[in-house]
Amino acid sequence: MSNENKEVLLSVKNMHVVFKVGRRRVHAVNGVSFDVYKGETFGLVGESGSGKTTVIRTILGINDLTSGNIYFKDNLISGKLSRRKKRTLKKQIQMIFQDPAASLNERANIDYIVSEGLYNFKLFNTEQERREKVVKALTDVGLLEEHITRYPHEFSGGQRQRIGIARALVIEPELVLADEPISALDVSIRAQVLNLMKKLQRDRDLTYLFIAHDLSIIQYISDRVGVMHNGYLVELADANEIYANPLHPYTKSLLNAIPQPDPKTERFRVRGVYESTDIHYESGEWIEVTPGHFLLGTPEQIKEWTKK
Amino acid sequence: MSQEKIIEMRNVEVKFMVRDRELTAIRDVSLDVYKGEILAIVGESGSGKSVLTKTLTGMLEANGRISGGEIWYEGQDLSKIGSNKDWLNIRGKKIATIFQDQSTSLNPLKRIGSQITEVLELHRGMSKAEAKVEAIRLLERVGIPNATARFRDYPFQYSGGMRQRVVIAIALACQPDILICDEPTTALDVTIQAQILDLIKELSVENNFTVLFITHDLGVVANIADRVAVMYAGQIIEYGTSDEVFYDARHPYTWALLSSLPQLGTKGKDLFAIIGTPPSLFHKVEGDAFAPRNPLALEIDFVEEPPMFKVSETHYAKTWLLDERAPQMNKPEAIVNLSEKVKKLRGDLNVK
Ligand SMILES: Nc1ncnc2c1ncn2[C@@H]1O[C@H](COP(=O)(O)OP(=O)(O)OP(=O)(O)O)[C@@H](O)[C@H]1O
Ligand SMILES: Nc1ncnc2c1ncn2[C@@H]1O[C@H](COP(=O)(O)OP(=O)(O)OP(=O)(O)O)[C@@H](O)[C@H]1O
Ligand SMILES: [Mg+2]
Ligand SMILES: [Mg+2]
Repeated sequence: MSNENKEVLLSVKNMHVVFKVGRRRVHAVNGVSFDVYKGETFGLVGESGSGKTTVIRTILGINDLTSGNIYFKDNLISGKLSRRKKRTLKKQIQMIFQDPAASLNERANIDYIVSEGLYNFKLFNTEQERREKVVKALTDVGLLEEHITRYPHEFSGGQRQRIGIARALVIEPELVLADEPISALDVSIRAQVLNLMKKLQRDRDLTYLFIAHDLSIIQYISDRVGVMHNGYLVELADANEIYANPLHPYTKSLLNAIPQPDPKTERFRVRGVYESTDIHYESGEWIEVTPGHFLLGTPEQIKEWTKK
Repeated sequence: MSQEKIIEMRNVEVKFMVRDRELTAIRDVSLDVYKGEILAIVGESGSGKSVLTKTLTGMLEANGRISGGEIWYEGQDLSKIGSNKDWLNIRGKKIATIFQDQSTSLNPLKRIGSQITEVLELHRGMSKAEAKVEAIRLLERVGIPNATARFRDYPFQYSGGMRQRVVIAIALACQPDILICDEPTTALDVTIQAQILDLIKELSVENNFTVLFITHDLGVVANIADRVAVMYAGQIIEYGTSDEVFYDARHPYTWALLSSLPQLGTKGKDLFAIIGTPPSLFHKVEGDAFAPRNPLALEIDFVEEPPMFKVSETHYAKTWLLDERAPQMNKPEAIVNLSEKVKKLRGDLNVK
């Protein structure tokens, strides 16, 4: 499938994010560029601390962009925006946070938490309609109507995470930035939520930018996958391609470390495969090695990595 | 694995008050934990995994209580401990927990380093200087790069995964008897996860401590667990050695859980998912709690609660299917020859 005639919904161009911590500077994101097509699921994976959350927080304007540009539907959304534009974006782009406990208002009950967006954007006509939407959103993610009056601390970890998902999806956004949205769920509810997200994607042409550490899930759900390491995007390709033909050493070590649900395989797992790669990324170039398959590296490195 | 029991839970029941109504989160759970083993607890979100392990450290929220049963540890019934002072001799010191949600375990206003040295000074009587050396060693041990330089950072300066590694370092600092890990690697990438799992395995052998490991990742279970207990709606419904649960599961819920693995899914098609929702915990559960969601349920499942049936010395399951009068029923095709299916998948992944 060619990517050329697909509509680009979100475009990140040369994103740099630097945090100042005392006198130290943390280069969290270094020149990251990628496009997300309308209706696709773009998976972002990589080392803990590689900058994945920072990328999506910066897209949302929660973190400041140090340099670079971000476009949504061909409109520049980085930099100063009018209040009206900000409001529209808030409805169009929703985020599901990595840490459900920290992102839910502890003093509000579930009814209010899930309704907040509905109130903000006046997405209902009658009280009954609002209530129905909330109950539907909760049951869609496997929660019960009786949960509606409860407070976040009265839920299990996975139940809280599902509240975060219900809250984001209920207002029918166009783009969902999902930061580890299903990490705290058991495999069956995970399957249920993934099926729901896929269904919404088919019905509403929803687009997902999906971060997860579980690479089996990324493989299953994503159309394309980007791999981050140390604040750099080091490889990007179609999901099938990257799993069948990983080229970057970091991608390889990542795929190699996926634990498999099989005690025999795990018992005979070879240890020590996760040696950290010692590559100076700043001298690398972003090169398309085969159509749609990008690698960060110097010409020599790329030659080395792509030789059979 | 030894035969010596370190924890004996007998008919434990836990209730919570929610605005004048009472819900039962743990229903009549009995479980033995053996010294030095790594026991994984898996199961539905909301089934009681965290609540069950919180009873071992007196960490239930204020609206909850142990309403029945006994929990024996070193000749003491933990379910009867009343005062917080008595808990202080156990919690953190002998039984330490690494929580699912690291943001609540770290103080955002204190430097990473001092959060570890504090524990070392308090629980292991180290001097300030000794504690600093040991803390840096622990940070390196859990894989924090540049530990000496980042010793003075605050939690917000670390990524989610790095913070979780600090929490693990703090728990290890106390050299506990029992380490409860409540989804400790959920926030970590697979390479660091592999390091942490190796680390926990190594340390458990080195220091002979026992690990209760809660996780949703069945790959992690396969990697780390000696035994596995499966929970559903407040009960343990099956337990056995890792091999028994992965290759010879007997409970329909365990079958469904294994069938939902994303590894067994086909791209573009829906994953297998269990229909319906778990029962409300406010009402008494009649019969087998999983029956309404089990297309293969028997008549009796809706009427009478099944007992624990013995499959082998080490393997038990709470399902009427194991009664001699029950019809012969085989596990779903999807999970037959799991090992071969997974191997084929690994073959498709182009890695060595
Ligand atoms: N507000 C901040 N101030 C200073 N440094 C920060 C801040 N937020 C993030 N960082 C740093 O930026 C880097 C990237 O962090 P980020 O949270 O984006 O990683 P991540 O890829 O999401 O990791 P994880 O998978 O562990 O969640 C880390 O080194 C982190 O310590
Ligand atoms: N403080 C509380 N008040 C009321 N109900 C509670 C409280 N804590 C937990 N519960 C309920 O008890 C049940 C068991 O919760 P627990 O946290 O043990 O689930 P879990 O198996 O750990 O789930 P997860 O995998 O999602 O973390 C859930 O239905 C939850 O809603
Ligand atoms: Mg993150
Ligand atoms: Mg839990």
